[in-house]
Amino acid sequence: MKQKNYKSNIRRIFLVLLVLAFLTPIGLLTQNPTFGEWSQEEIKKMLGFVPEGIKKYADIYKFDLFDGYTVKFIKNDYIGYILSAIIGIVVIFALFYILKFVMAERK
Amino acid sequence: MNLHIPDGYLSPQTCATFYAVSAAAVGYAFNKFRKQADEKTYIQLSVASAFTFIVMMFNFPVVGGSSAHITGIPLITFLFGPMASTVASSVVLIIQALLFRDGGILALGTNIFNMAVAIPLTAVLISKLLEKLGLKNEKVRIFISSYFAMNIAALLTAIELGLQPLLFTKAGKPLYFMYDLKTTIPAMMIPHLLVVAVVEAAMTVLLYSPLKNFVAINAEERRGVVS
Repeated sequence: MKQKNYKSNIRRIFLVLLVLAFLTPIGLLTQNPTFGEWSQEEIKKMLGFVPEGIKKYADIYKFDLFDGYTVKFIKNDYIGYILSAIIGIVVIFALFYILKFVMAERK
Repeated sequence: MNLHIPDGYLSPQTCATFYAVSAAAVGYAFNKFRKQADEKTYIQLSVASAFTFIVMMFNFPVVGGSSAHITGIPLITFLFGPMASTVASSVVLIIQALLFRDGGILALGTNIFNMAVAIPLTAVLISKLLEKLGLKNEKVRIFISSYFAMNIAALLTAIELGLQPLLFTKAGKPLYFMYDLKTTIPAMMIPHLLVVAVVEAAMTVLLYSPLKNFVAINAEERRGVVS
């Protein structure tokens, strides 16, 4: 009986996460620029120059398939955002699954 | 506004320091966590991590014409304890940096310190302090400590960014982040004090009670009290 409750609870939580994933584009509605998240062009406009360190390190990491929760080959930002949410959740679950597995082996 | 610092804004010295501190803190937390964790804990924590990840995608406008998001980290802290919370939120921050370029790779240690280490620690310490001071109401305690924890994270971010132009310049020009404490502290603190921390604290109180029962039921099942 309790086991059944637990499973239905888990199912309910997965459903809530999925619904939230589909609602994430609400987060795109604000177009306000964020303090401290400027691109190099924006910094150049603000200061007249780009600090050396920013030039050197800003793009040190190259992987940009899902840059900023968009998906490179999907034009629609909203769909890209939802996809990013789902990809993020799947990767998190996978990581914890591996972690659980590794920890069980070590015991 | 955003607590996620990108690459290039912090000097390598700052990044290295916080990588060392965060590695120690997260290592300690994970070690403590895995000793008390069983299979169900991992499942519950993966759900908690996923929730944190999703919540951070909901940007909303804040005062000063900027935008911000809440973190969900105080909620996980009160549900699962500070060690599990540090583990879960570190996982989220690592994935955000590696996969979505939200927060830098060099800045990852700093971002983990500000959010995954400082928020759970502050939330728990303030809550315990309030309890000692005789504040009986659990909801009020959770609200106040979540509010504090979020503002501490914002303050840490503001100080780390604001110190850059004071410490690292070349020929009078900033090498990394360009605005000093006079700008970063109000820019980070005003929206967090007035909006972000209030929303975070309210969300934490609202979801804590229903979810607490869910976690508690499972805890009892695990101990074999309920068959």
